[in-house]
Amino acid sequence: MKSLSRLQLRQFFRGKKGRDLIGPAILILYFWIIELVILLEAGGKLPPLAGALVFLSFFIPDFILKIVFERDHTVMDAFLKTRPVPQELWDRFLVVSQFWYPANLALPVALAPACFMFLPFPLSVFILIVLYLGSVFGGFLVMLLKHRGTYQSEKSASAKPARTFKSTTGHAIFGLQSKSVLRSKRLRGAIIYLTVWMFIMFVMNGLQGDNFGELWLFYFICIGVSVLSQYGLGVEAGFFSAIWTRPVSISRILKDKFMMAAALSGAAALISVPLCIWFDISVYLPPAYALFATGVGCPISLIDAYNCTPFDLFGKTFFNYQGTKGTFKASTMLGMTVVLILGILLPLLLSDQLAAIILGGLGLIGFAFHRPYFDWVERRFLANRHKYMEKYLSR
Amino acid sequence: MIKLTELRKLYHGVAALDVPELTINEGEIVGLVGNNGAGKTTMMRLMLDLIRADRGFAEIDGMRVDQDPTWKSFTGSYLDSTFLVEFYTPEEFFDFVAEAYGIPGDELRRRLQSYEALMNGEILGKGKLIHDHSNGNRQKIGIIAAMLVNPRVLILDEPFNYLDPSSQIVVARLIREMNRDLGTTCLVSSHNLTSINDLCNRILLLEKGKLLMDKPHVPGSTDDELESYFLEAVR
Repeated sequence: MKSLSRLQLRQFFRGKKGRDLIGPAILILYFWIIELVILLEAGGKLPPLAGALVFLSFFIPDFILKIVFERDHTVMDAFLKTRPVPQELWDRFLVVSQFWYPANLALPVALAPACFMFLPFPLSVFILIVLYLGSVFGGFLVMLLKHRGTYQSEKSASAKPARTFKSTTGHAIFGLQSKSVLRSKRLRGAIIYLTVWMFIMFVMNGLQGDNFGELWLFYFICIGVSVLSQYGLGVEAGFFSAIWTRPVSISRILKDKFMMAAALSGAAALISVPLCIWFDISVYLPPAYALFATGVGCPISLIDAYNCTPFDLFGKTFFNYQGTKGTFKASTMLGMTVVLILGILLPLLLSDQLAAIILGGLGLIGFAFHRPYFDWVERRFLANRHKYMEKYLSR
Repeated sequence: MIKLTELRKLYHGVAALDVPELTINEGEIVGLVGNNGAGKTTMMRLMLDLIRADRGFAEIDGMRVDQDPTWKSFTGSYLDSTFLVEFYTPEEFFDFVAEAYGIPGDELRRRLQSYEALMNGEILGKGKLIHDHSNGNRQKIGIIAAMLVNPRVLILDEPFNYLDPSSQIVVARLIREMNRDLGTTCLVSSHNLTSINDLCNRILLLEKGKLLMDKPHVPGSTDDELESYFLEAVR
C-alpha cells in the first residue's frame, strides 16, 4: 500500500511539468470569480442557510466535471499489471487513495477562502468537511461508473463508415476545426461544459431581471470562441508534419479557425435571441456580441497562435484540458481581457443600442480585415517557423 | 533531384547530422541505413524543412526547401504519426490529402484502388478513426497518403516497421512500381537490410551523423560490405 501510494504521488508530480499546474490554478481562480460574483449579487453578505446552500451547490459542477473528464483508473497500468500486485491490495488502494486524490481535494481548497470570509467559522468548517466528504464520495461514484472491467476495454471514438469520399466531408481541410471538436472528448467536454454553464448562468440571471443577464449573455456568446482560440495551433501542432509537408498554408488554417469561431458565436447568438426577448434584454446585443467575439476576440487570441505546444486530443488526464498542453500566453490573455472588459463595460456605460452598434461595428471591421490579418500572422510564423516546429516535434 | 550542401544539424552541441555533400539523382531508389541515432530521420526532416539546419541547406529539384515551398506540391512523405490526422477516418484523411493537392474525388477513388492490396480490406469503410487503427494500419495509411499524390519525390522513414511480411512485400512492390511508372525519386530508410537490398539501386550508410558509405547497388543482391559493417559493430 505504501509503495503504491508513493508511486501514485511520484507519478502525479514527476509526470507533470510546471506549466501543467496552470490548468488547476485557472480552475480555482475561476471558482473564486464565480464566488465573488454571487457574493456581490448578495450585497457582500450571505444568510448562513443560503450561504451553505450556495457553497454546497458547487458539488454538482464538480461531480459533472469528474464525470466528463475523469478516466477509468481502476485498472492497473501495464507496468503494475505485469508484476505481482495482489488484486485485493489494489482494490483497497483504490478506495483509500480517494481520500487524497487531487481531484477530490480541489473543491474544498478552491472554496475555502470565500467560505471563511463570508460565513461563520464553525459553519465554514462544517461545509468544507461536507464538501470534502461529498467530493470523495463523488470520486467513489465516478470510479464505479467509469469502471470498464478488468481489461479496460476503452470505447473508441468512431464515425459512420464513409460510402463515398467527397460526400463525407466536402471540406476536409475545414474539417480539421470542426471534427477535432466533435471527436475529441477533451476539447468537446471543455467547450460544452463551459458553454452549458454560461447558458445556465445567463438564464438564471435573466430570470432575475438584473444587469447580470447581459454580462452572462456576453460570456455565453464568447465562451466557444475563447476556449477554441486559446489553444492557438495546439491541435494542429499534434500533426503539424501532415500540414507542413503538404501545400496547405497556415493562414488557411487560421482563417478556418476564424470561421469556426463565427459558427460557434453565431449559434450561441441565435439561441439567445428568443431568451433576450423574454428577459427584456436588447435583441441587438446577441448579434453584436457574436460579431465582436469573432471579429475582434478571435484575431486577438490568435495573434501568436503558433506559439503553442501540441494539444493531445485523445489524452485522458483530468486537469490537462484547459490549455495546459498549449503554452499559457500572457499576451493573449491580456488582449482577451481588454476585449472582455470592452464587451462588458460598453452596455453598462452606454445604451444597449449604442453599445451594440459600436461592438458590432468593431466586429465587422474585424471580419473585413481578417484575411490580410491572418496572412500577416502567417508571415510572422514563417519568419521563425523552425523554433516553433521543433517544439511541436519534440513532444 | 535532392541535393544536400554542407548540411549540419546540432542537438545540444553534438552533430546529429554532418553531410558535406550529397546528391540523389532523379529516378533513383536510395536506401538509407544506419544504427539508431545515426541521423537518418534528422536528414529526412531537414529535407522536408521540418527543422532548421545549423549550417548548409537542402534542395529539391534545384530549389532550397527552406526558401521555396514549391517542393510540397510534388513531394510525398511519411516519417511518423505526426504525418497523420488521427481524429479523421482514413477516408477523410485521404480526402484531406486530395483537397490539398487538388485531386478530384473520382481520381482519388481511382488511385486508391491501386492500394487495395496493401489495405487488405482493413482500412476503408470501417468507420474507425485513424487513432483507433493498429500501428500497422496507421503505417499503411501514412504510406498510402504519401504515395497517393503521385509524387516526383518520395521520402519514407522506416516504411516496413509494424507491417506484416505480406504488407512489406506489397509496399516494396508499390515503391518499385511508382519509380518505374512515374520516375519517382525515392529515399527509404530502414533497419531491415533485406528489404533495402531487395528494393534499392543505391545505398547510403549513415553513422553518428556522418555518411560512411555511398555505393550503387543491384536490387535483389546482398551487400557483403554493408552486412559486415553491422556485424563488426556488435563485436
